[in-house]
Amino acid sequence: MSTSPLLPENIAAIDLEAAESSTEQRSAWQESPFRISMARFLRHRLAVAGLLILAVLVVIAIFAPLISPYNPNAINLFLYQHPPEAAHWLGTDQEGRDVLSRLIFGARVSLTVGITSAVSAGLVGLVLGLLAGFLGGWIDSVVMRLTEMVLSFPALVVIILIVAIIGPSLTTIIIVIALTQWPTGCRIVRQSTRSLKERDFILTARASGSSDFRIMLRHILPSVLPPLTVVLTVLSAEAILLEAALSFLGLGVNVPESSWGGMMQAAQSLTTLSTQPWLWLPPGIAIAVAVLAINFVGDGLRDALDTRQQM
Amino acid sequence: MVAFVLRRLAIAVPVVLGILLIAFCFVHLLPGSPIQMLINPNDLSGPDSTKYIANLKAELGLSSPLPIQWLDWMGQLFKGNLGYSYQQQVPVTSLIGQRIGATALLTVTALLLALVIAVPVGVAAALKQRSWFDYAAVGISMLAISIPIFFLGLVAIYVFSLRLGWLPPGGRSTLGVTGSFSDAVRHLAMPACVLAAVLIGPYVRYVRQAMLEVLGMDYIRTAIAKGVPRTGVVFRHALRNALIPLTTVLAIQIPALLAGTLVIETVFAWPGLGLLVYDAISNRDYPIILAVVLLSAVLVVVFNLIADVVAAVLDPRIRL
Amino acid sequence: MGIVTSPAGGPAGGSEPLLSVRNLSVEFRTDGAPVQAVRDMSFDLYSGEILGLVGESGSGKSVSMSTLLRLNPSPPAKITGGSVWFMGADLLTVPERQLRRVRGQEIAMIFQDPTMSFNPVQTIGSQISEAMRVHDRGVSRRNARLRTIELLDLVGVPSPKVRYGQFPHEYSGGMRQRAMIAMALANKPKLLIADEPTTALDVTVQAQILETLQEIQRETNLSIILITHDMGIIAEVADRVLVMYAGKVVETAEVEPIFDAPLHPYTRGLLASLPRLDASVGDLPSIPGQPPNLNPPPAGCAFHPRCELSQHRERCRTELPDLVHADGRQHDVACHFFTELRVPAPVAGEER
Repeated sequence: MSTSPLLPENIAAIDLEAAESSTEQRSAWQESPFRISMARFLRHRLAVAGLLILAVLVVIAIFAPLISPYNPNAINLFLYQHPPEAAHWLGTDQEGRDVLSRLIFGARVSLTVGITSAVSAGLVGLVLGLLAGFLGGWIDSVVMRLTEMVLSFPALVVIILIVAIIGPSLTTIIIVIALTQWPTGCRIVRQSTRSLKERDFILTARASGSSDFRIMLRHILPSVLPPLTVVLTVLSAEAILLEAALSFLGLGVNVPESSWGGMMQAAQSLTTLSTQPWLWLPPGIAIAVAVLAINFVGDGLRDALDTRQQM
Repeated sequence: MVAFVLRRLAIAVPVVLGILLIAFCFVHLLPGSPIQMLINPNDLSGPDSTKYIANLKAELGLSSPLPIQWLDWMGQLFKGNLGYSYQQQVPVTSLIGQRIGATALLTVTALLLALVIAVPVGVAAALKQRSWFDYAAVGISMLAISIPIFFLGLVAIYVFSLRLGWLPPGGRSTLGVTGSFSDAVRHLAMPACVLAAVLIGPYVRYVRQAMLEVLGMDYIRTAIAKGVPRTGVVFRHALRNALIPLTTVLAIQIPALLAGTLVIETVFAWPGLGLLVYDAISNRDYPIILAVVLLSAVLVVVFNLIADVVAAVLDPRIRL
Repeated sequence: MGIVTSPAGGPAGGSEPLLSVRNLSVEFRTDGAPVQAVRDMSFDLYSGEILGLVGESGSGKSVSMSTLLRLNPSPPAKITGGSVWFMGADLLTVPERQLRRVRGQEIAMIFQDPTMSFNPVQTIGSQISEAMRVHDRGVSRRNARLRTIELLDLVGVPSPKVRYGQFPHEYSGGMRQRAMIAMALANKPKLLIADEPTTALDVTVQAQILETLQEIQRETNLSIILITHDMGIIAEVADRVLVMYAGKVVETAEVEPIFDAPLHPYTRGLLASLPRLDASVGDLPSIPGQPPNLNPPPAGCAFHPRCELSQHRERCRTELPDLVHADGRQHDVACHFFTELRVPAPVAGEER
């Protein structure tokens, strides 16, 4: 038989082969750990709901200028402290600014600070955790003592102190929050790394001559990412709450749009608290909803990735 | 056991040193030199002030290299000198002494309240897994860890104080009233409950999780197989083991508790250390802030140590 | 639906069985379809006999026995049928309070011992004493302690007085298992169910534990159900054998016939794959294929895809074989075509 691929009998053979290999590929993909985790995650209705809510919030944050009915910073003293009405669904504040618009733009600040600081904290924690867990020895001791030291300080108090001294710029706040949160991620990464270090596949890699750095990057890092993702949700939740508390106390970012926490500053006065609930209830609820959604996602991720970690 | 405690202490020492180092760095960020904050301002004015300042400069080494300054500064700390308030010109220690009682009352009450509620709820949720009670417990604890503390406080004031009028909106006592127990309780109720609510979230989750893990263990099956009644299994075997990680959890949550106390004291105008710090921030009164930060960090280390020792008492495996 | 077989009288001579299991069925509900872990199991146990329960993982041997004491938590396990007659009552339906009096006192169970069979934060001694005091409130702490020390000595734990106050992590695996046995025997039960008691132990320790069990059995006329996957242990210790496969009992006989003339193809396969010291072998034969997926269980004989005798005959595929008498000496087998087996059991290599 000629081996030219264009002959009819050979085409049939090729088709069969192609069909066989694609079935193999497909079934391999279907059973990949990633897909299993995805399936398990999607079965968690709350986690999926949380993800959807987050997606909506992110969309709101990104498209704020398009969605928002008014300019959040537009001061109009004639509209001073209107309760919710047709023209302003959530009323106006003491400077006549539309609350709904401020709420929408508030998402930008709160979510940006929250997610950025969480990611930064996560990165620092990842690097230090990997090094400490994998290399052990004095590096491990130093990193562990460092985490203990940082964790001994109540985060909010330290942030307040530093921000009070240096000044509340957006970058400062993000950095400071990250500085107080990295130990959480570091601990988890270190724990994972330590248990993975003893596994057979690492020993095999070592035996075949891979350098430490290579092993860390190619073998341990992918296995450490799932628990780290779960930790990232915890960190984001914590960061958003910290930023909110900071702004509420008057020490937060001083961008004009103000975050959700900042919107609630006015409620420190009992009269405002009592007579203008539309000023502080919506932002408070918004924070709670966002953090709740993140926590649901985190729980869903934790369950979805659990069995997979039995690698 | 003694060896364990000593070893644990030995680990704590470098951590405390590290904390002191970090605190010193903070001090350095502040305007003025570190030593300046520790000087009694009353001594700086008056007829002998110039000579006094000159002596101090020499003695405290205001121009020494940093490490020496650090040691001098620590020396002052150990002598009990935590600095002087910029605004009020009095030693910080006396201010702290005035306020610490109120904070302790609030914190301890909240902690006890949280434990008394969270442990039974967590245990019951684990025992009746997947029942409506379990789902409710998990749901409420999720909510509790997601709501900002200050928001919860504001809502509580709005509902119980402004709308229902049952409880006072803040402060520790009504003006002019002293020694009234019911008045004290009415003022303590809301701040303590809100602070407790913040703790209940994580506690319920941990207790439930620990209990679920323990209930799946082999020795529970052994206990049932040998005829131990259900209460015996739950209390003598399951709970006894599930509570061990709880001591660690309690210790880990202390920093969060302290931060929460600060916020609650601000919202409810509770005259404790938290409010002291908040006022100090507005007044740029750094020595106070610094002293409280330092104190809380050391407190946390102490509590972690205690928690580890308690865990070792409860779990013979740790003592090895 | 199975034919209930009641062997005529047990080896100890007594005509009433101590334990009678009839048509026991247990299913597990997991995320997907329910799994039939135990299917229509029936057998009798007489006092003083050691019954070996053999099967591979997933055969249902452990589940069936822990079901006797209702130790499997009710989701996900579910008893779907059958009865367990013991001392005049059906253990599957008695109220919990009554069952509690049976557990640890009339019927005791010991398990494989990975490290956690004892409560790690209590001393071994106090846990054994607990076994006594839970059933007899009148026993004083002091007496319970004395008896515990006696028991520890009986099972071969050295320095029992000192060991009383030690914690589980201070015992070795073998000693822990001995302590387990001591705890199980504390209330002089009539029946001991031992679920793979030696699987997690070294071979030498294994032998010691088995010897201890046999000694105790001889002295007290205790009945033992010994669950294992190790045919060697069965040969050593058992009086009668029950072979399980895919949730069903496929063969039961006294121990010698099982080894000399097994009638079920699965049992034959098991024995053929045993390595022998006295024969030289090329390749060890093994039973081809995998145990079946039990949700749902196959319609006919569960073993037929791997069975040489069956050769995929229609009857094997569609009809579930009942457990029937093969010969007068209580040898029962569940196979449609066992009569076709004329040849004695295949062994790897030559006969000695």
